[in-house]
Amino acid sequence: MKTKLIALAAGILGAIVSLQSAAHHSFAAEFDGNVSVHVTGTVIKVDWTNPHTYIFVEVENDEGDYEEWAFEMGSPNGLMRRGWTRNTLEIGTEVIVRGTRARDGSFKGNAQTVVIAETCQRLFAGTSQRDFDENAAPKEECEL
Amino acid sequence: MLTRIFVLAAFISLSLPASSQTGHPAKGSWSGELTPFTAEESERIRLLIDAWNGELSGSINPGRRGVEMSRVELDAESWTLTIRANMPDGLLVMEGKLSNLGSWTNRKFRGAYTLGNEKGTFDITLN
Repeated sequence: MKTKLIALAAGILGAIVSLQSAAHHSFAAEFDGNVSVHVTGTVIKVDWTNPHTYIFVEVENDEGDYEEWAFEMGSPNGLMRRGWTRNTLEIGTEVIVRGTRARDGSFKGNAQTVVIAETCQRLFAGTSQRDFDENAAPKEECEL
Repeated sequence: MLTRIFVLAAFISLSLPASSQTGHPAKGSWSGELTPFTAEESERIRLLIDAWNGELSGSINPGRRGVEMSRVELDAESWTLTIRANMPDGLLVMEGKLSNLGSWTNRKFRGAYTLGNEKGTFDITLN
């Protein structure tokens, strides 16, 4: 009986842990470090969650159509160490995002830097790309 | 003892999906198109709607060029949402129905609008 209870408790704990770990993965498994992304658009959603924060950016492409890009960033704690707060990006903020693209070619990327267009403030996005050097990151032209 | 644990496990499993069922159905960030009857091209529109103590408020195209909504009303019996805002081109009145309310990311707001003398339809999705 005791063994069954322990097994049951372990099963419940495992299920909870698996929900969190499903969102955690290696950079290389999902993103191609050789394919860069550089977009300008408007923030339409921010998910301030662990293990990764996501921002969703609406981008007008060359044909005049709109694409919804999802950018993975670091954890909330990692972002706060880089100067972010929960309210740094509000809905409607115009941003310039530089990063790398998902291997599946979808409108998804891993953000390296985010520039707030109105203030030209550049923030590092806590990318999990190991060879990204924040000190060597190029600065953006932020005038829109 | 085993029964208690099963009851506890059932509550935990129920609480996970229930946690995503919170919030006003109109609240959130929306994106879509205004399509005038007289023009072929649509115009992009974004809405940001907030709900506080049952009162709705929000802005059209939030951001640097955003315009505050002067009135936001929801008829919960028919799920008809009406939005008014004084845009640079004239008074914008949007009236449409919320649908697909069970969806967290594909909720729709569709209907008809007037903007000054312009009339058309709109199709907007919750982001």
